[in-house]
Amino acid sequence: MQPRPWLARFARDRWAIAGVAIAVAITAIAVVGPAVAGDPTRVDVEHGLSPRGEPLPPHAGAVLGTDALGRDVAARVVHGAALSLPIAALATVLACALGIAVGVAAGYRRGWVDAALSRLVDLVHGLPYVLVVILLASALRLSALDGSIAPVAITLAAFGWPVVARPIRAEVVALRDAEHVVAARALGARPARVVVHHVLPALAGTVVVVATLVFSAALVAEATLSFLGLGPPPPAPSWGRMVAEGQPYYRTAPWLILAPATAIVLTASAFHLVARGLRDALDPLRAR
Amino acid sequence: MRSILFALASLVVAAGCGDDDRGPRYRAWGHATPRPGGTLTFAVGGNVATLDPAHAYDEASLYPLYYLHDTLLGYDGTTLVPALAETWSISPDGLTISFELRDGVVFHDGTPLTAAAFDHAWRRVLRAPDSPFGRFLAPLVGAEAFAAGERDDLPGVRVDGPRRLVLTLAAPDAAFANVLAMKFTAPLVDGAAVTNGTGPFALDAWSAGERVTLRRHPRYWRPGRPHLDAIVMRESVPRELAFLQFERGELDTIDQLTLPDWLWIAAHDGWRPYVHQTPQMSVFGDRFDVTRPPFDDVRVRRALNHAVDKARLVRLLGDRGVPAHGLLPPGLAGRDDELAPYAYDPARARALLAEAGHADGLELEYVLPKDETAERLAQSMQADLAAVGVRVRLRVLSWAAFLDETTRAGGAPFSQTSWFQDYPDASSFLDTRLHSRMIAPDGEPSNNDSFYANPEVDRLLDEARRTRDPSARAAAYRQVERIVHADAPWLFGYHPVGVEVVQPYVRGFALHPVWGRDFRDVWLDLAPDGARVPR
Repeated sequence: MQPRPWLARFARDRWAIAGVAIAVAITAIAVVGPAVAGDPTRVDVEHGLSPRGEPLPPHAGAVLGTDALGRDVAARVVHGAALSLPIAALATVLACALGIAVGVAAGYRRGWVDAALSRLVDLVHGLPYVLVVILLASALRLSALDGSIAPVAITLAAFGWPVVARPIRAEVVALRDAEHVVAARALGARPARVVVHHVLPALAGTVVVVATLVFSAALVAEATLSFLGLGPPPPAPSWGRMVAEGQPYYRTAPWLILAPATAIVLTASAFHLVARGLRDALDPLRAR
Repeated sequence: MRSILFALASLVVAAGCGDDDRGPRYRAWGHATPRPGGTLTFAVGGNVATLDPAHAYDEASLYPLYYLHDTLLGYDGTTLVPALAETWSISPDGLTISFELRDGVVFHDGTPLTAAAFDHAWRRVLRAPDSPFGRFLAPLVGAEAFAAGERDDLPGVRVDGPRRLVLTLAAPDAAFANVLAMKFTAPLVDGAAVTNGTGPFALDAWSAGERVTLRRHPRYWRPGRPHLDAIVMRESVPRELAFLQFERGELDTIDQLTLPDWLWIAAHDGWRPYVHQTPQMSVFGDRFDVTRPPFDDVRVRRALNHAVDKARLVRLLGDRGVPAHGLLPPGLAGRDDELAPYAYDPARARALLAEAGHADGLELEYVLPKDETAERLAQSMQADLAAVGVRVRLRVLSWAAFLDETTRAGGAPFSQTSWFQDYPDASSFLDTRLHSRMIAPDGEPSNNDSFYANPEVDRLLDEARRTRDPSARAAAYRQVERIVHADAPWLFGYHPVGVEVVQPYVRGFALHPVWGRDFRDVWLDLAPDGARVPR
């Protein structure tokens, strides 16, 4: 069997491979890390702070230093991965489900369905993102869902789906008139069957690329919400909250911001590189 | 995300600066005696909501009033002394208080002070809709009926000629005289602006949300005061920003430092002579709704008090505080100094919880306002309580939502709380927060938000209010302290220590035990040409 051409192209993209390596490493940390790293909520004034009460810089006992409560920053970053990645993943799954449904419906049915859904996509795109996200996240935090990762994930998905819906719709519009789809329709296949058997499989590549992009964006957006205090409640060590809590210490204990900020940038960049590599590999005509 | 980028950018900038020199930029010129002139600039975090003495009750709004208005009485330390009154006397039955006004006092607009100006101001407060202060005047004969519009005379206030004022109380009230040092009792000229006072500074300009500018009152009654030409108060400056402005020399003085800024200052010997500290007349802790399970069981309340390491809370404030055994801060008459804070004793906490039927632990929700310090301390408490099997979920709310949620019956039963005195008297803490009279009906906001009702405490508080003998009063309050300590309607936290850092050329500054920061006697030790002297 021939090696798949896109996989070979992907493997030649050094940036993409680097992205995969980092993404895999961080995912591994998120899965395995919490069992290995210390307790991220253990307050230790006696050993975790200087005699004057300052956070301790990186040292043998705490490789990334300690925070204002004497907690181990490394343990918090690791546990933060286990918190932030699932939120971004859940948001991505929800956004993709909704985005694919809307994109396929609009692209396949065309007509007024397309017009209505496309306007909806435009509408959500046009909303002042941060403001509405804050509103929605605040509202959800007052609901019964408060305390779980659901409010943040739902908020991010509610604003992430148009990113998925647009390219899917465009692709479906083209696919609709592809020969094998027209043939299937001519043979009397019902729309649902045509979509499931002939349209969706052809979308797989696009979905993978867009999903990776959405994941990367959701990770940053989750950090933003947590930074604003709308993420998981304290003492949850989400990366955005860690940056927020470390902000007053930017002069005296810069590691409090550097550690979680590096984690955010590294993870988001890694998934972004993977997405870009996949896009180029799957669509050779668009490659550099 | 923009905020994160900003944080990162400021980090890079800060790292690039790498300033090892953290000491003061300026030094004092070295004048031996106070020099007149100059402008003092300081900042507050809040917005000035109003300059009307009948309504100003928040920190930012009260600052300008402190300089605009003088009152009948003032404080030397925590002792009441005459201010606009030259002399004052209380009748043996404690029902009549007479004042002779000082001669030669004029308002900013030049109007001479008369006793009628007090009568006018107080009638105004009593009839002002939504004024938080009417209740303080309630002890005056006829005040409540006047406020309700049932009568148009106010027999409790008698103007006896231009310089004599006689007050009559419905019942003896040993704490009442303190009310006459509160700013809402300042005299006002009928028909003039409410900012037209008798204080050392007059209003120059108020640009709402931005700054209040005060200029010297040239005919102020205290000879040789004030030294300063003007005071500028910048509004709504966040604490972190205020600190940067102070370091650059844009502010002459600063308080309420964040923990890292405080540690930064404390680490540098150059600042040490310019750091002022004094215990604040306030208390911080966590309130329980004692009518709701599991807090209706005193064993649970005591267990939680034993479970939290209060010494560590103080440590996390940069040692700017002392652990509390009750509500009364150190130095206040009536505080029982022999009581100790609940010992940090997790084993005892577990035993008490087991006794109360919670051997398997508890699940609680704790509500706190969005505030860096409150969140830090709450996480410490959360860790302590987790160690005794009490799992606490933190709910962070905006200040308005927080007040709404935590002061009404049926609201959050466990939350952060604090109290700042209205005046330095035990009643300002104990009556206000723990007398059953302060439980509002029908879910209205209550000052007694523990909904604590103990007939013995009520009786002792009422008795102390009627008693004039200071030692008998103190004894009654000490008894209340012991009962309250044992009943534990709060998880008693700490009394903060106020810290003010001034620029080296700011002289004559002292933290006042009642007012806190006080610039009335401040002068600026500048070069003869009025310029600041670089170090």
